[in-house]
Amino acid sequence: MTMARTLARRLAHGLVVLFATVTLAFFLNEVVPSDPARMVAGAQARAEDVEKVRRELGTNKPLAQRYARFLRRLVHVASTKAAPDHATCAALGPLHLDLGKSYQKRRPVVDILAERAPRTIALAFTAVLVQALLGTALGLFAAKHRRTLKDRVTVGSSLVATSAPTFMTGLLLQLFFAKILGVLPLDGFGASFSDHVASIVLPSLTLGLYGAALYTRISRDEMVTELGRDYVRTAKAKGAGPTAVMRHAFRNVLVPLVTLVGLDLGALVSGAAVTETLFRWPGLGSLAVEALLDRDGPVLMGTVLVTCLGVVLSSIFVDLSVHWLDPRARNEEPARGS
Amino acid sequence: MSEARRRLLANVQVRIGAGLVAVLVVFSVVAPWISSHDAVTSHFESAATRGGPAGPSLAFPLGADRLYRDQLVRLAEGGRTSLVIGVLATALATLLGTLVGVLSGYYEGARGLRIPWLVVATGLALFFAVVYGPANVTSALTSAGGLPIVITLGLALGLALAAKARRGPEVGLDTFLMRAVDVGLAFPFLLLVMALASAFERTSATTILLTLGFSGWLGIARVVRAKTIGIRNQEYVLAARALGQRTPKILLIHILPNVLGPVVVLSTLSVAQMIVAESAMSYLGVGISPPTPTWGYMLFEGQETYAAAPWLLVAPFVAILMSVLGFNVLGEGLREALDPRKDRG
Repeated sequence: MTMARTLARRLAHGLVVLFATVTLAFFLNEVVPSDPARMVAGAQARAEDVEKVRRELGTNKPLAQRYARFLRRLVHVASTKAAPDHATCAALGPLHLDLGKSYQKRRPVVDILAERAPRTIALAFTAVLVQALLGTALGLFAAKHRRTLKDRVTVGSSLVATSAPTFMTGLLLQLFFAKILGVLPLDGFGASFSDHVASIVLPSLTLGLYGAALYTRISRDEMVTELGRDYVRTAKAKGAGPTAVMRHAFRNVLVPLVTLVGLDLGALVSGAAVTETLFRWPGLGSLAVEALLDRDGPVLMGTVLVTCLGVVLSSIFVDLSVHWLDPRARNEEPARGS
Repeated sequence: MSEARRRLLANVQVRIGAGLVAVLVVFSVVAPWISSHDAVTSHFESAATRGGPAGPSLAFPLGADRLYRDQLVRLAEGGRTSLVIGVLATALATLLGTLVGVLSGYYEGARGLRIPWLVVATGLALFFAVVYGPANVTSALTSAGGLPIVITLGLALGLALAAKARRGPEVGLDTFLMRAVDVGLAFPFLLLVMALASAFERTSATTILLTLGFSGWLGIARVVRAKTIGIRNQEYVLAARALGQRTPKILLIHILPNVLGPVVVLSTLSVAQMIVAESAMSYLGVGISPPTPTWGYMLFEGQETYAAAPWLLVAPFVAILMSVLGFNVLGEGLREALDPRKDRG
């Protein structure tokens, strides 16, 4: 199959996955009992006002019609954004994306997502950077000193680090760096850019320490396997030094590592709910938890959509980069089974 | 003693991991028995000091929490909950993941169900009519539980078959199952917890168990699928097929035993992940409802009084770390012992 056809197929599948996930989440959200009209109108509102809001929100309609209305609003074509019924839209040219208005925050959901997404993306990238660099460095170190005490200690301590859930590692880091040393902010997002930078250190370190172990193990094991192969022996016989040998072998270790980076980015872009909540990082993960606890349906559906998009896109990215990195994956026809 | 068993017992990691898990099991089972306290009773007289709940003492070895309950017994009861949820959820996830993975891998690249273009086009037209059509079209089509839609699609299928217009996109079992895995990976499982909780009226251990079980099989399915693809064209499988053995028998006798190695490793590691997930949910406040003790919620409570009563924070902290580490080390040890490529060890 050619590259373009593979890509088209993957995108079509991604669209189906996106649609199925959003649909499932919509119906599951309907199972959870809540009264959006009461939330929007306020606890003190009169019964007829609640009824009026209910008609406006359309929550008095049958389920199928609500679902149709949700999808129609989600993606539609309109020439203008000025009309009052397009006030909660995000416009991509004539294409409008509308997730409605948050019940609690009383703002368009697309605006909330647009505000939160960059923060989560920043956290995801720094966290993946920490875990990939730290994990791979430790893994290569262990592979270089394989079957020695250094190897055992490295692999063992990375296992301990990954056995502490993020809310525990985060708590320890907060205690040490914010309470005892007082060099970094305890939590929050901060007001200026330098505040943001200082605030991102602890959460990305927390996620990085947790995720590094997998990189350590994979890079160590793959490296040890590669170092036992014939081409390494040939390179050594031709007089290549240890560094040159490691560099040769490392190219072959890259494929599983890139796969892991892609999958981690996808998972983290959807928001690390626990870590973001612990550090009060105002990203998508903490938004999802808030929306769940507040029964804020529109916001919840927004986070589901973004999460799913992240997972789908990252898995396509992984396939493409493996295709690009590993020439063997390009030529192989998929094995035909029964 | 077989070679595999000897390697298993000689592995240091397997020994350490199994030891930690054994300590955890014994502690969780025995501590509530030998203590005279239970996990939910407040002891206002015996556990009170001037400064509040008592610290570690002979009567309360780990002190009392802020409601004057015995921390040691609560820790042990929380351990029972964590263990039972971890193991049962893993069992559910392993079963589902292995089933999906073996089927998906065996039928990868095989012919699937062809959906005629006529049916596809009708389906899309109906979808756009429901979503973007006027309100009366939407309500007409979705009346009686969507019966008009089903009838129209049925007619389209009948027409296509009658006209022998079978061409169209093909949906194989493997494609279908793997896209289901994608949906699962993208799905917000906290929402599932909430939905189940409202169906059962309260977040119980069963709710958490089912949620974790139904969300934890995705990774196992992917690994088993890859492994199955690797062995389905081996000579012994081909021989079994040539001899005319039925597919279920081939899957059960020839494929399944050969993918079990990674499954054992993955499910051991999965118990650790389940324990983490359960405590994370409790920590976030969407886990098992109080007063049932859970490690995550104890940690959350202990965090608030960490300056005055650090032992309330340390106890669940150590418990979570040790149990997760135990299962992780055991899993890594199994991976090492079961991996025939000895050069990695």
